[in-house]
Amino acid sequence: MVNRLWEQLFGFGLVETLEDFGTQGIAPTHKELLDHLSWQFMNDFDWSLKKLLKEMVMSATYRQDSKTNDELIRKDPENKLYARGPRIRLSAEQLRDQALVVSNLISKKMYGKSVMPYQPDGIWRSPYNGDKWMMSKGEDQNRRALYTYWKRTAPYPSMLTFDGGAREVCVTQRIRTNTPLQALTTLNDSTYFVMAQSFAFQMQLLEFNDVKKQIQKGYESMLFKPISDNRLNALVELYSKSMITFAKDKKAAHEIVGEGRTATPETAALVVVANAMLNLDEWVNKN
Amino acid sequence: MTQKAKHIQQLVKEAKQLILQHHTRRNFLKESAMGLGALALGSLFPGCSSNSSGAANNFFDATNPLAPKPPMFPGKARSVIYIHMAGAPSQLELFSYKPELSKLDGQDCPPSLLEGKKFAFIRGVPKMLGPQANFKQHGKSGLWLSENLPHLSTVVDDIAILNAVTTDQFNHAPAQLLMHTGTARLGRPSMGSWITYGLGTENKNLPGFVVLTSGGNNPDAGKSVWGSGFLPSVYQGVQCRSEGDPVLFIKDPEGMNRDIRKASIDAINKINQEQYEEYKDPEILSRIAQYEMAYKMQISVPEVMNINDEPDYIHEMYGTKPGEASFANNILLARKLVEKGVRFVQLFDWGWDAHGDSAGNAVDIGLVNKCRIVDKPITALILDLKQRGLLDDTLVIWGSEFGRTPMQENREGKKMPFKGRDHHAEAFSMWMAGGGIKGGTSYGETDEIGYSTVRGKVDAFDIQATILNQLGFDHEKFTYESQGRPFRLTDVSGKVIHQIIS
Repeated sequence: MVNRLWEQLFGFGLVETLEDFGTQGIAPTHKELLDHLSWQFMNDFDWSLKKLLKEMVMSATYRQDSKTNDELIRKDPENKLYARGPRIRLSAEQLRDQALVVSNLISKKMYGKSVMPYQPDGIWRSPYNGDKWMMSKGEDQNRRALYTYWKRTAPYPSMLTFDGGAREVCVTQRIRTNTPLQALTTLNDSTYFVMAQSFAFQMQLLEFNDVKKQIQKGYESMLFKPISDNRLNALVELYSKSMITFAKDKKAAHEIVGEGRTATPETAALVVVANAMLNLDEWVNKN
Repeated sequence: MTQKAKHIQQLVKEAKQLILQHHTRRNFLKESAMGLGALALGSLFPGCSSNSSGAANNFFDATNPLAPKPPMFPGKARSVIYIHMAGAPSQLELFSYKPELSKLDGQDCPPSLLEGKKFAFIRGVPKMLGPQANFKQHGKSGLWLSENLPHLSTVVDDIAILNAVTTDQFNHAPAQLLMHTGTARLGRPSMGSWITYGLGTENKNLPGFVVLTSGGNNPDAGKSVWGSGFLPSVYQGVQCRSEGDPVLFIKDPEGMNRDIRKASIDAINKINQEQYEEYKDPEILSRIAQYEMAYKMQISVPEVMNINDEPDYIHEMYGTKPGEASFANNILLARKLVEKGVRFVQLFDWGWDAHGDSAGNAVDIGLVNKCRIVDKPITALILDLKQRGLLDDTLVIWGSEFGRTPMQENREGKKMPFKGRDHHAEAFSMWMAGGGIKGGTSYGETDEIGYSTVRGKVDAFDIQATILNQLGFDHEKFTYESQGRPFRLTDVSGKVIHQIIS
C-alpha cells in the first residue's frame, strides 16, 4: 500500500516493480523508509490512507522543487535519490479532469451510470451486436473521466493514447509515454478544443478587455503562479498573429469560437491562445 | 572446504556477477538515453533479453521509443504486411484440393468425425459438402488453387502455401487473439507491437505499426488484436481510417489554418524551452520534439493516405478507386506505407464467415464475391512489391483465425437455406510471400476430405516464430519482463517453419 501510494505521488515506487516484491523484482531504493512508513501506517495511522497520504505530501522530500540541473540529471536521471521533487506526466484521467475544471465545464454530478462523452465516429464498429456509441447529452458530456463508458474491445481513444491501459488485464503500473499522438489529441480532439473555447471565455470573464491581463489571470488559474515575461510575450505574439488572420477571415473566426458565442476576432484569437496554454508541458506535467 | 561451503561460495559469486551486470546495464541505458544515441542503444538490444536479471532487461527508451534498432541477427525481412480475413474463409474452396470430398457430397458425416468433437453450430449428424469450386494446378510449381482466385493463380510461384494450419480455438475473437497475440485471452501484446518494440520504425513521421480495416466491421476481438498488452502503449497499432480523420485527431480544428497551427506550436515549444532551461528535465525536450513531430505527421499522414496521385496503371492493377473505403484501397495503402518505412501494416477484412445462413454467407455465392474483392489487390500487391524491389524484404502473410468444416453446417440440427460450412479449428490454409520465403512451395497436408492434418502441421506459434525469424529474432530469446517473469510472443512453443524459407 505504502509503495503504491508513493508511486502515485513520485512516479516510481520505492520498490520499482510494484507488482513484484519477490526475488525477480527490483530491490527497494529506501528500505528503511518503506519499513518506517509501513509501521506508521499500521500503528500511528491505524490504516488510515488519508493520514498516510498527508504524511507523504507534507514531507520535505515531496515538497522539494522539481527543478534540476545537468549534474543531478547525470548522477540520478530517474530521481531515485530524491534530491529534487517529482516531475511526472499526469494520467489520462487527470488530464481530462483538470482541463474540465479550468475551463469551468466540469460536472459535479456523482455516482450513477457511465456516460458517453464525445468520441469520433466509427470507433466501435462491433460485429454481430451492432452496439453504438450514443453521445450523452448536456452536463453528462463533462463528467469526470472515471465516468467514461469503457468497452474493452474499443476503449475511449484519447485516454488510450495517454497510456490509459485497455483494462484487459489488471495492471499495477502504467508506463508513461510521450508521443506525437498525444500532442495531436490535446491540440485537436474536439473534446479538448471545446475546453479551450470555454477556457478562453473564462479568461474574458476574469478580465474584460486587456489581453495581457486575460492571459496572466488565465495562466494563474491554471498553475497558481504568475506568468513569466517570456511566456507572456510568446502567447501575446500568438494572439496578435491569430488576430490578423481572424480579422480577415470571419468564417474561420466563427468556426474557432464555436456555436452560441459572438465570433469576434479577439475571442477567436484567445481560443487559439487557450488551446496552446492547455498544451504546455508544465500543464500536462506535475511540477 | 566442504561441498556445501563450495556450493555457497559459488552462489555468492554468481549473485555478485548478476548485480554487477544489472548495474552496468542500467547505467549504460541511462547514459544512452541522455545522448549516446539510438545506435548505441540498438546494439545493446540483442543481449538485453538473453540474460535474465529482472525488469531492468526491458528495453524501452522513453525519450525515443520508436528509434530504429537492429534485430538479434540479420533478418531477411524489414517490414511486414499481414492480411487477415476475419471470419475465416473456407480452405476447401480456395487452397485445399479435395476431390474425394466431392464423392461424399450429400452423404451423412461418419460418426468417427463427430465423436468427442465440438463445433460452434453443427449439431447432430451433418451432411458432407463437396468443394464448391473447381481446382487447377498453376505455375511452374504446379500448386493447386481454385477458380475463385484467378489472379493469385498467376503468382503462385511467389507464394508458399501452408495447408495444414491448426488452432485450438473455434470462436472468432479468441482465435484471432491467439493468432495475433499468442493467447486466446485478452491482454498480451500483438505481433505488430512486439515487432515495433523490437525494431522501432524507419519513418518517424508516420506510426510504426498501422492497422487498416475493411468489410464494414472491426474484427471480432476488437482493438485487442492490435493492442500493446503489457508493452508500453506507444507500440500499439494505430488505426488509419479511410473515412473521417485518417489518424484520430490529425486534422486541425475547423477554422484553424496551418499558419496559426504552426504559430501555436511555436509558442508552445518556446515556452516549453524556457521551462526546460528552468527545470532541465530531458523529458521536456522530448515533448518539444513530439510537438514538432505531430506537426509533421499532420502533413505526412494525409499525404501517404492519399491515393489520388497514384498513376492509372496502378489503380488498374489493384482495382482501387480513390475516396472509397475498400479492401483494395487498403492494400494499396499498405504498399505505400511499407515503402515509406512503416514497420508493420496489419489489415483486417471482415465478412468471411460463410455459415450458409444467407446468400452473402454462402460458400458458392458470398465467398465467391469476397474472393473477387480480394483476389486482384493481393495479387497486385505481390507484383507491385516485386517490381519495386520491395518483395525481398517485405514479408506478406495472408490468413485467418481458423478454417471451415468439410461438412455442411446444420445450425440447430436443421438444414440451412444456403450452402455453408461451420468453423473448423483442425485444418486450414494460409500463405506467405516475400521476406525470404520460398515461393512456389506448398507445405503440410490434410486427409482426403480436409478434416485433419496428416503431415506438416503448424499452428499460430509456428507462424509467429517464422515471422520473427524472418525479421531477425529468435522467438525464444525475444522477451519482455512483466509481472515478475519474462514473456514471449510464442509463449512456450513455436518452431520456425524452415521448409518454406529459402
